[in-house]
Amino acid sequence: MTMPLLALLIWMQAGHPDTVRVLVLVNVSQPVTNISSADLRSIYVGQTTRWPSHRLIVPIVMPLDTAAGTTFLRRVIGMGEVDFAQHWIGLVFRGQTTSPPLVARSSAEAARFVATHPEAIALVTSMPAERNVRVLSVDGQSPQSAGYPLRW
Amino acid sequence: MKRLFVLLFCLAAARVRAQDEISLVPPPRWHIGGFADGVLRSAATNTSRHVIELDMYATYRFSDAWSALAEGIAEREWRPADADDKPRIDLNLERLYITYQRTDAFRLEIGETHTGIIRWNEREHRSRFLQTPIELPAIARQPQEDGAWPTRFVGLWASGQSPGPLRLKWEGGAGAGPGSDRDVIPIFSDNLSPAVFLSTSVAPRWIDGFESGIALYGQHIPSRPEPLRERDLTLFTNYVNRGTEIRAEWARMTHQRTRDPRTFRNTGYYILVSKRLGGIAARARPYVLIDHLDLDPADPYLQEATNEKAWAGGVRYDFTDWFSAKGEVRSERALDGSRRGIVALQVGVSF
Repeated sequence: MTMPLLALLIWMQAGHPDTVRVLVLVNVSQPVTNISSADLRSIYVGQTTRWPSHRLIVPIVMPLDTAAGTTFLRRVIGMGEVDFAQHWIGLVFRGQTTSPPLVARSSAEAARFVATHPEAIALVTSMPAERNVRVLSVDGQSPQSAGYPLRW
Repeated sequence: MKRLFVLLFCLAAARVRAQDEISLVPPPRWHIGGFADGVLRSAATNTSRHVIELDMYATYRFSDAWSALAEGIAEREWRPADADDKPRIDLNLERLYITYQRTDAFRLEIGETHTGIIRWNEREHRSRFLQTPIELPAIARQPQEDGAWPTRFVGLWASGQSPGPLRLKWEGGAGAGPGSDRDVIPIFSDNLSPAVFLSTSVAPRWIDGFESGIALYGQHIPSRPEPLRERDLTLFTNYVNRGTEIRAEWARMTHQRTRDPRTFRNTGYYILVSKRLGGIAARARPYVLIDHLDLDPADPYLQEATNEKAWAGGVRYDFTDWFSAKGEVRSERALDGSRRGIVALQVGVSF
């Protein structure tokens, strides 16, 4: 009786993956410490293309076929992976931007890029080691707080 | 058709190779892309026609504020039932303009671009790959496809959006529209057609993916024997969010003679509804399109355009984000009131 119960518990655990948390990184030179989830969506659907300094925003995403990528797209952007990619193909084709978001292979790679490119903004899944990056709070909630909106 | 599949295979191979080489570097200043589509249409009334289309575009970013875009289309059409059908490739320069944009509140385009009087697929930038159905709605067809509305013009085109919660958008343009020949935009001749365009819309932040607005277009057409004044009004609304796509437009075009009060009214609308399925069918997007165009038969400026009363239903299937196939059944009412059915298949890639 114990073994089937244990197997059931393991199967249930496998069916409920660990919590996904997405962090938003910018370069420390950007005068921003908080971003609303509406502004974040606006950047990642190409409606907001400039920083207040008029520089072009360079958005970076994690691989979109990961749990964090698909969850972010579904919960924040409201699109699936294919629709998101085609949406950005359309933005470039219509001349509304000149390139789609960059795709970082890892959080460390994204953080390194943000540390050296003030115009970049990145979505990552682990705390960065770089000094020149800042982790933003979202909707006034820090990533450590219970109400952080990018944790699912 | 063999050439089409060779072309599609080469483009797909190039795409796979490019994906292998991706690394995180700043976006390049230039971007060259395109779409290749093959469409097979089979009609029971010996009006079958097949099309291969290559739509290439390039952008170049001079700085954060200045950029340029060029788009050209090559198209080959077959009409198997037409014995006189000669092999011919149509080449068209679709857009060519320079953009100045320092903020999201103001953007300026200078050159040849689309008017915006028809919003189909976001301001009438056509691409069969990006649109959900195979066929364009009748009001979105370009003059060279016997469409009625003036979708292209040459001049200044400005747009912007407010940062507020209502996200008020505006667009305006002034320049030269199509002349007495609807396929041609004369710039340096007596046939010049001065045109103005205005549009405003709202896309509230609290309804993700929703936009609704109005567009106005006015033009002087130096047609013979008598010039015409054109006045167009379009109402549009889109909702694209969480796999649901709803697009609808209602458009009215009037042509008025300048020496007598005779006015010709033309009206059209379409409604497109599609939904990305879930689970194992998440690559599929079934859709329904209702398409209506009612032209004044006496309008002297639209003699090549034809009425349309049609509905279409189909499925778009995305194998990847750059390779899709579509199947569509379309029912059209002919001039004599009878209906004809068309079955169409499309394969398309983005590269």
